[in-house]
Amino acid sequence: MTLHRVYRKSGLVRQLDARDVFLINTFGYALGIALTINPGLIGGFSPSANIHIVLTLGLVAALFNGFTYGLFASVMPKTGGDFIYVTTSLGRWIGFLASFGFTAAQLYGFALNSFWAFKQGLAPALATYGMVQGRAEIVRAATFVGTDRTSMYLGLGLMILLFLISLFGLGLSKQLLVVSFLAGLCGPVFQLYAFFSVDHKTFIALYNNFITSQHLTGLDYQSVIAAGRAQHLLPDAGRMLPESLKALPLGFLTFLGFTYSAYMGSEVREASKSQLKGILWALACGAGFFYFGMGRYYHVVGNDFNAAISANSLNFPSGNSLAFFAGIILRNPAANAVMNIGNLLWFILVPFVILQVCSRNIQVWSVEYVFPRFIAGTNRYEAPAAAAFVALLAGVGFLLLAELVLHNTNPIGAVALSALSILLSGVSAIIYSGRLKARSHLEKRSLLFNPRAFRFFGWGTAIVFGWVTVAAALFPAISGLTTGGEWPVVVKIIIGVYGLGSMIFYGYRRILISQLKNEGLTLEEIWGHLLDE
Amino acid sequence: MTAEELLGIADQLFPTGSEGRSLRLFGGLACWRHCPKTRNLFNYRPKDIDVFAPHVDMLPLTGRLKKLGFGFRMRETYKGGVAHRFEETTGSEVDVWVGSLKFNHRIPADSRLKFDWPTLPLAELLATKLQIHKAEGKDLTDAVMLVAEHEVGEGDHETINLEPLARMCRGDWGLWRNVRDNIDRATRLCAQASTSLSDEIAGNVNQRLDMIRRAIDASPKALRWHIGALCGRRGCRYWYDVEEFRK
Repeated sequence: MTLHRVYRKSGLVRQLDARDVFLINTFGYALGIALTINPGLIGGFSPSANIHIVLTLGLVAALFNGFTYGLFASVMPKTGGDFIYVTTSLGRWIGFLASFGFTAAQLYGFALNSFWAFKQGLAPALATYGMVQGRAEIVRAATFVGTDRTSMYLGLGLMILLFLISLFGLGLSKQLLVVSFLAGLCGPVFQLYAFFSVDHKTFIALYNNFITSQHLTGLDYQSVIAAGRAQHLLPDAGRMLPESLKALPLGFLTFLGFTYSAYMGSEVREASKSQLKGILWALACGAGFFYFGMGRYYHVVGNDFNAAISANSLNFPSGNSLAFFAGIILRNPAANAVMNIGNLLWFILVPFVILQVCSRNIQVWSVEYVFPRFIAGTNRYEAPAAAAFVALLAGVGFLLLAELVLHNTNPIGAVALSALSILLSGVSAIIYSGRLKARSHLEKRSLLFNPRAFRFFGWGTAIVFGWVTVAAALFPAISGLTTGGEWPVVVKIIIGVYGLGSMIFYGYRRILISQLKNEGLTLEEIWGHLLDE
Repeated sequence: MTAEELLGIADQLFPTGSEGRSLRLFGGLACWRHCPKTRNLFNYRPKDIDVFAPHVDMLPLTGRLKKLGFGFRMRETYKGGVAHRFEETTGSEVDVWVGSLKFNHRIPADSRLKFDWPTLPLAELLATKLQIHKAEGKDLTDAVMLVAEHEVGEGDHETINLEPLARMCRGDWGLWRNVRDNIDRATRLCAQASTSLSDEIAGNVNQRLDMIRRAIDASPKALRWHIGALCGRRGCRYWYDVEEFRK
């Protein structure tokens, strides 16, 4: 493969620019949701962890990940992400497995995020608003929406709606993302405003007043901390560093999704500029909001309170998200409504962006002959309609499986599968750097696009995501398992998903070989173009 | 490979029967094929083969190209479909575009493929040349060649049909803008090339280009055209960027 080898003929239309890359990636890690949900998640998982250290560790991991994908996406501006990068260095089977594992995890996320849009997005928003306003009918509606079955049906409806929107192509999607981003920013901005407008003491007073006014017994500030203590959910300053390190995967999870544009590589124009710029700007935006927002939240509510709200015995009426506490502080009905609508938009747009990414991954498998060929087609709006339909079917299947069979709507195995794909991309970057080195003229091209950069970020990504993969398997809570002693479940999921991927790969390969024979072609002629020389 | 050889290859690529019927030749070679009388007046020979198909099974086509000496080199998705490149040992290329005919602008050709074979209908063929945002000399030459050899008017048989040209410009200000600009450039090119073109041919080209200009200007414009005009005149990008194949 030749880096930057250009051919004299032009013609490939690419529609996304650096701004679109930024938007896709910001919706990928769901700024509003990460800010709202993750502090409670981190507090419950590692009560002694320091949020700034966790975020810094997560940011370092994200930087390695971001640079590796950004470099790859710049020199290989092709749709498919991991599939292309890993195939180039490690071959098509491993490349497909990396992509298949990532896509499976994301499709599970597509299903769960659609469900959470109602369970953790709309229902808590309605409940907080209803309580703050003293409107019992809104609280009742929130309770109805928040039941698992109702959220499942609404989630299924949302998935279908997002699929239909995606059929109208990227032009509409781009406009939707711009408008939604501006409106969605209201959620994080109002939350930041809320926590910067009060201090610790004022928060306790406001919170206790609210709990008293709502007759929520056992949920006053001191009772919550006592409940946390009873379940060992109390910060211990002596364990701050090891607990922070343990929470690294959750720190990274906060940013997971910020490289989604790499999976839509063929649609990004001037990829060598736009990809890395958009990826890093998205990361910087998230880091800014998280450092200030989560840091201030921890300071205002207190580390011990944030850790304690995860105690099993506590049952907050509208979840234990950051938005709930921000709503109590804000009180103003209009501000509350705007904040909640903003947050809800993030919940709704995340599955939309995931659908876009997954449908392109599926399309590229088909284009590259590792999946049935009819799935590669686009509709009159140039959307990969067949691939999107396959993604929808998988998403619907996953949601029904999670809700009706497993009775567990946590992203079990998703972190491990995603981290494993990133790890494989890191290894690919190391191998790729070795091949680039042999072409000395390429080293002189740029300060960034050179073998040394690929090697450095490749090693960093491999080491960090090796740890994230292991940690996601070792610590059940990272994968959403609520009880201990179940870590092999994650390993079983990885083996299962990769086993299924291998069956599909070799099953379709067999069919393809017989078709190729009829045309006088070989596998190398059809597949070989992605393999590095 | 000479243009004649490429033409021979292209003819073998399009077997009669349903399989070949879904493919259409476009680009410089298609223009050259359509203009046996005037093509020698211009000092330009096509070097590659461009093929378009809304849908096609690429495996049989890849097999046929292999037999003709073209090995598969790469494929890449673009906004609207998948592009495939094949190369021959002398460096000649075959590009197959499966999906939409979309470059600086989208040329809606799917429903009108039946009006010509094995090339795109003349109106669409001309549109692929006039839609280019920064048209090079060879693209304008192709356009002039087509106009020099074919009447403009109604119908598609060896005629550049004005109706589809006007229709595609009616809803797309950006396309209209670039087609208008390129008609002006082609007129200038024709004047510059007047030493190699007879007065009669140059006169015909100018007259026909003017007819095309009047046809696309006179057609009633859709709301989308007016919205595009508002944006385009204020400096918004009104064309799609196209980038080169990169491996």
